[in-house]
Amino acid sequence: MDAGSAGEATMERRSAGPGKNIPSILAVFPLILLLANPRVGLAGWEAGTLAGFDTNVDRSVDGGERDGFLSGYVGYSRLPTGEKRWDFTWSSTLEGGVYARISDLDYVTFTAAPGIVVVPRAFFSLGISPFLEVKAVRDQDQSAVAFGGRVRLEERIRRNLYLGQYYAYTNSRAETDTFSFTEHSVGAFIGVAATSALQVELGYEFTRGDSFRTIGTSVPSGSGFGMHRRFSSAFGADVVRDEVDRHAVSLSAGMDWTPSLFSRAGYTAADTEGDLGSYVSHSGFAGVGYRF
Amino acid sequence: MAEEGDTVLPESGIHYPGGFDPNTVGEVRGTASGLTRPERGPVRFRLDSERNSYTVLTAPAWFWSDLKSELSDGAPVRVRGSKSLGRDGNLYIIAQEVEIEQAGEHLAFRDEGGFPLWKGSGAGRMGRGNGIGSSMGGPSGMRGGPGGAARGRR
Repeated sequence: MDAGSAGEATMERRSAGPGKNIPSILAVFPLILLLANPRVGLAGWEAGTLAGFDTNVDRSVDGGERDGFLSGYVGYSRLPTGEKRWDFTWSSTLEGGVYARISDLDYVTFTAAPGIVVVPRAFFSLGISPFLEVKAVRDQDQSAVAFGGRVRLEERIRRNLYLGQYYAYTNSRAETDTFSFTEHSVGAFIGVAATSALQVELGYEFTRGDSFRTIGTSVPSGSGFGMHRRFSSAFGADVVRDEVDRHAVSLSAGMDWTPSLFSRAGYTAADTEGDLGSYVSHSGFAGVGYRF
Repeated sequence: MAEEGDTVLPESGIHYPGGFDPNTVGEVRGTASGLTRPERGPVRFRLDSERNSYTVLTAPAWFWSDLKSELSDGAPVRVRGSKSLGRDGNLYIIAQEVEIEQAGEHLAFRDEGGFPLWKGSGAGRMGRGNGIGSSMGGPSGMRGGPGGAARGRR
């Protein structure tokens, strides 16, 4: 598709919605992060950095763009004290990342997730947590405000072995509707405290929902995807919004080097299927963090 | 290491539940007595071994109740846990596992790394972030980038 037709295909209007004020909203989040913690200076804070890769950052069915990223974050968590059968939780994270090749994907996000955890009996817990995420992306089309919720069941089946299942709903409203999505995810994971310092988790997740996808010029504009088709300057190609099913398997590990210093790494393989076709992508990360 | 939500036990000065130190883990055999279940803080009992006497700190009362275990005075027990000298001069064990030998019961209070089992599964202790499993959000497949993250530290 040439530039002209790409322009014609850009039927999408930029919503005047939530993304407009994202940079200014993000600017005040460090303050919210602090206010959320009435006991600044005690444990509960964590900062870290990650390096990673993704073999299909543009979600193309024709191979995809491979890219690497470097990110850093600071966050505060309040976990259950365990002194009673239920407790409130809180998690907030400010994160920023840069990509090696496609700098338009550089981003800053703030996520806040209050929650409640109930332990009806020993070794079995139920957690419910709504969340709000604000994401500013250099490619402004992808900047978004997302909200949703997550319900999680966890059970410890041996002293060093636990199982978990969860359901999550996400509704993300992007600056441009092509990048908006709603999705429902269910997943399960098994984790083991392999040693006193090493923890390993294996997980599976099924997701059904919307996803933007990059399409090649071989797909004519009248092929049924015109409602959300637009040219993305970030990817240098047309993108559409597609309904997809996704199966993902992940393996991750974390190592405590000291009570404060830890490292972690993870790998995910995902198979995404939609009307436009399917693709398999791989992503991974490694990083270090510090609790304080 | 002290953790968020820790309290400092008044007599001993021991941080609870965060005072567990994997470097001081040991095993002691002896007889139990004086089980007490305070409204706040850990259920505790006295452990007399051949050489020393210890105060064993276990878990909150609700967790102990769920284990449905009786620990009568004089019962022979084996305790594995982190040893500590309190500021009151007494010896303490922050219990990881207690075996009530006559009943053949094994009571687990902490995982291999010392994570308190009454705090839940311990999923997501390896930091915030990417990957599925216990972290919120997910891999970059559908959500666009490595954002997300929710759970974290122990």
